[in-house]
Amino acid sequence: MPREIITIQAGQCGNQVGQEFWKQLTLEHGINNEGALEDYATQGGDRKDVFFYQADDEHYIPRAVLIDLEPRVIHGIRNGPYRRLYNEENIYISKEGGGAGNNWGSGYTQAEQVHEELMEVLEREADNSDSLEGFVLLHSVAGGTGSGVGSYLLEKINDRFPKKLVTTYSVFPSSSGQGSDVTVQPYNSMLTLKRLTLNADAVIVLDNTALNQIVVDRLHIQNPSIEQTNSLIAKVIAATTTTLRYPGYMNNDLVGLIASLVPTPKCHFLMTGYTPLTIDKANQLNVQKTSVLDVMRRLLQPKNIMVSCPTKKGCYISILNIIQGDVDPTQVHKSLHMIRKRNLARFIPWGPASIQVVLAKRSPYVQTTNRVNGLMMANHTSVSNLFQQMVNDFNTMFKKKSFIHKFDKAVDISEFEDSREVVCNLINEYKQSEQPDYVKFNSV
Amino acid sequence: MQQTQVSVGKPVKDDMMPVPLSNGSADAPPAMSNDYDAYKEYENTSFEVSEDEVLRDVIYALQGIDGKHVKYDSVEDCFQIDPLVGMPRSTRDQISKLCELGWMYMRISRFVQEVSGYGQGLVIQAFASAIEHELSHYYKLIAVLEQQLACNSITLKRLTVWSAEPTDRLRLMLILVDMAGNRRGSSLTSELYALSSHGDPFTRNFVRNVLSRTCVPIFSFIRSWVFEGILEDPFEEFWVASDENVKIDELWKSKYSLRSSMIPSFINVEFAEQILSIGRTINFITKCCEDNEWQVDQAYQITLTFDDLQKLESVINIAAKATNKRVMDLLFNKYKLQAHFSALKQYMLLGQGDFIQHLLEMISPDLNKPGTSIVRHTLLGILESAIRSSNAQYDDPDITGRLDIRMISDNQITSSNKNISQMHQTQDGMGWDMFTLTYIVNPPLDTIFTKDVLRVYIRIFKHLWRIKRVDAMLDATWMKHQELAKVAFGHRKSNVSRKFQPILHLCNLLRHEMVHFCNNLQYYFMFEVIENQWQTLVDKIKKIKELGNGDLKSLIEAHEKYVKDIIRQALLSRGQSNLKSQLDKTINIIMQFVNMQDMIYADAITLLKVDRMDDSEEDEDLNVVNGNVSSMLNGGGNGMSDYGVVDKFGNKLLEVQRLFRENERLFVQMLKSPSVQHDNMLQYLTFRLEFMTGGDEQQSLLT
Repeated sequence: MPREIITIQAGQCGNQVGQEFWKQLTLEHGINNEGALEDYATQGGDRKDVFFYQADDEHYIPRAVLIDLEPRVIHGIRNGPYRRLYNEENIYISKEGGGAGNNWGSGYTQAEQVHEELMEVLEREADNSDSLEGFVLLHSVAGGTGSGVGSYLLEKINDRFPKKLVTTYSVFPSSSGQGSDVTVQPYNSMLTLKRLTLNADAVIVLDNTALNQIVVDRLHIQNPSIEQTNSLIAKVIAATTTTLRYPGYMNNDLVGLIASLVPTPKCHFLMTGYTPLTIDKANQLNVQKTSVLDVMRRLLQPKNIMVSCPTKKGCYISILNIIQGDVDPTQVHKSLHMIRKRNLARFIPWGPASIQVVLAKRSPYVQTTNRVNGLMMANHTSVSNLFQQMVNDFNTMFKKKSFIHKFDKAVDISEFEDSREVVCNLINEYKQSEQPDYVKFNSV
Repeated sequence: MQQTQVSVGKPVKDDMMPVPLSNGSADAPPAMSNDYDAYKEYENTSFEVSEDEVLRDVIYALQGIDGKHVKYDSVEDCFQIDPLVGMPRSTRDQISKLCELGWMYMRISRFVQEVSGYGQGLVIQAFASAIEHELSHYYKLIAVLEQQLACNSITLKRLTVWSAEPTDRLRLMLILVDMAGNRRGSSLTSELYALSSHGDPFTRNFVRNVLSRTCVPIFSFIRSWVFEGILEDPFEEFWVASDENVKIDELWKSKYSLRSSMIPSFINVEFAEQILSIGRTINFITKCCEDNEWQVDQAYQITLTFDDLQKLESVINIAAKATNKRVMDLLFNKYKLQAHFSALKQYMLLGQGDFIQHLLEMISPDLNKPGTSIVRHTLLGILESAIRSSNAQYDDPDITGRLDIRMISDNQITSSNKNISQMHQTQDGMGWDMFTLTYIVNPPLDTIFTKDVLRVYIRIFKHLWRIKRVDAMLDATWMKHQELAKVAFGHRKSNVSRKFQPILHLCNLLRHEMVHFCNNLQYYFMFEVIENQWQTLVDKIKKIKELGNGDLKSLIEAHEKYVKDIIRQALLSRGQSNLKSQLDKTINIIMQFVNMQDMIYADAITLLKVDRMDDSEEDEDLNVVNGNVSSMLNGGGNGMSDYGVVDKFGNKLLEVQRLFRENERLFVQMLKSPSVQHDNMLQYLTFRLEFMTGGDEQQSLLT
């Protein structure tokens, strides 16, 4: 009775990230690209059944649903080295194959039109699980398919599986649409953000600006390829699921993990940090010294956080650090002591808060040069800055009703306004949660 | 050092008087009128016997046999020459002196005869035979004398000269025999040992020889004990005592003990204990581990004697090393001890999180029933399925097969005289209070995981299990709160959501405080207490195994210290009962809170249905349901408008909030009190609970 998790990857970004994610996961579990267990992978102490199930011939199949409205990325997967990994029945490509044209409305309506087909896949996967814990959605917020289809699915999953946990890994666009060819990106983002606020239990925010910055600055790659950035994302996603896949004393399910991070239902946008950062062998030239303290301190530094938000302002609602590797448990206390003494993290004033540190196992099949590595998942109020930026971008366009005609039929004007209101409420709640009298906050 | 030249017990009187003829004192020549007569009488020259005849009698006397003229007088306890025999006084004295030898011989051989019979102890028998051995020189002398007497080549004078050396010997023997008296076993050997460092070389060597022979049984005890683990000690003369009533599961702990009174002075206590421990280990190997093939290398199985104590020491060291190595090999390889240590941590100390999670989830409905109505069979089925569906399935079946379920109340664990193997209890109490996982061990593992130690594991399990349970309850509550927020209320500003939002916000924040409390408790127990202690234990075990001279005793001690330290740091020691009960109180309040949330959730869901039905007025069937539900909630009132969630739960919620905060604060205060704080580890817990307290700013909603 594992707590199974079904991964839905929607759109170009979702599927690209997903591909890297499964690459990482198969590597960590000692599964080859065709789903067969490697000969050496016998004693990992890992749980493969959270993310995989076994076919009749015992090879592992990801609990993954691949959805796209245009065939390019999925074709790439189908022709790539991992083509035999996925369950072919779980791949949905729109028959028109025209994509969503980077339009949320198009994605949403197309999903609505084929919802029976989509939901059937989800239902089948859900029935295939003994004790389904929930769904994970990999997508981007800005485009058409990931945002539109993703939004639709979030709503549908809420209706159909109200008691299941919904977590998303959402890639947010570079701020101010820099380098973006998507003109209606602010609209797409706003409409998606509404669903992420209302229909998800937790959203792991991956901000393209920060990701690029990290790849350029920290990994010294000047013009990072999409694969390189995605492999970084995949690493982070895999790390957040470590405790589910390597059972230990605590946090063996997603609920336990997220419940401590999300005190109030809407403020569920989590930042992640990861250190030390490496994405491939060539990049391990500058191996850092890693102790628990080093790792925990670096995790609090904005430059290691995958959201470009001023974490020095605002406050942490909660922090969870997952530390992997060769760790002396006594170091954790010392590190916490140091962090408190130096006041490296500011917390909310209305309730108890602390850095929770989980020591987790590391895959024995993946060689790393670092003794210790760490992941931070944090709920920080400054994430609202990102949303504020999105509201501002949205307003600039919405005032003039620029390109609004692109959403004709699919989205009412009131839906735009409603989405903005939801997001503004969210920003407001985050602001309120920095105050001591947050208890008095009334969202209605 | 004792004086050797003590006079022999019953000295022969130099001026022996023929008793029958003298009425007066034997000491002084009688004052008689006729000096010659007096002289004659005094010298007793009445009739004379030949020297040969006297010599024959003397040689008889030397063998303790009555002769014609020299006879043993039991009243005087000496040999007497017939007073009628005419003999000069000086000769008479000479003969008396010679006869002293016979008297000593008699005493010695009588002693030897007395103790040689069965029933006196092996050591004293060995002593007797040592003395007898020494007597053989004397027998030779007698034989020579007899031969010479036959050839007429001996005189009284010569005999006197020859008797000097045997007299010293016999005198010494007599001293030893007198000293031995009723002494047995080590008391005898210790006395001999004391004499063996006498300044006089003759005495020293003599005593050493006797001691060496006397110790033969002791060394044979040692030999069969340290090489075979066998005790052949019918008279309890060895320092290893064995209690035949002790059963096999306690063989190691209490079957063998040190009989300190039997440790001879030339063996120090540590050495005696080392020897005890070797045989104990061998018995553990043969009886508990059922390994009968194994033996200490034959090459070392030499005869041990007193003469080479150094060799004894080295042989004992070799035997100790060999047995310890063997027992470690058996325990860690054949009996997979390391795996059992881990298993107890994984299962009894909740390390195998996924297994515990499944177990908790599946067993909850049953444990909500009273303990008496729970069917063990059902629970075992659940246990089985929890193993199958978690990573426990990859564990050695021999390990998971040992997991078992017991229903036992807290009181029963602490009162150690009760038998915990009883499943059915008469006491009331919910299944939750009584349920425990347990681990079945058989020999030889029960020597390390004794009943007492397992009882400690059960106490820790129940403690952690309770916190785990409340943690799971809080997670479930979180899910309900999430469901209400994202599914039920959504974005719609419905009446229901407007009514529930404020109170749910408070619930969320209070729940978060509780989650924080529970999580930090668990982090503390798991990572700060158990993980750290485990590391210490693992290091110790490694050392014990590496050193080669690490023994089972130190292994057991290391493990017992491990569980004891956990008990103390997990607030379970006897002195911490107030802390523990404060913690339990706090946890009970969390449970109250959770129950209240279930009620709020149920109300909210019901009202939502009503709300939705209000929206779809045209359906009559639904209206009927609507009416029913409304009237159920409001006693027939009009719809849900009358329902006030704040009225219904507000005060209760504030009360729970107050109680929780107060009890948590009390708990932290108690943790900080000086009597508790002497354990550094507990500071870690306060540190965590107060990491960044916003306590002062905490405010109440609903004001």
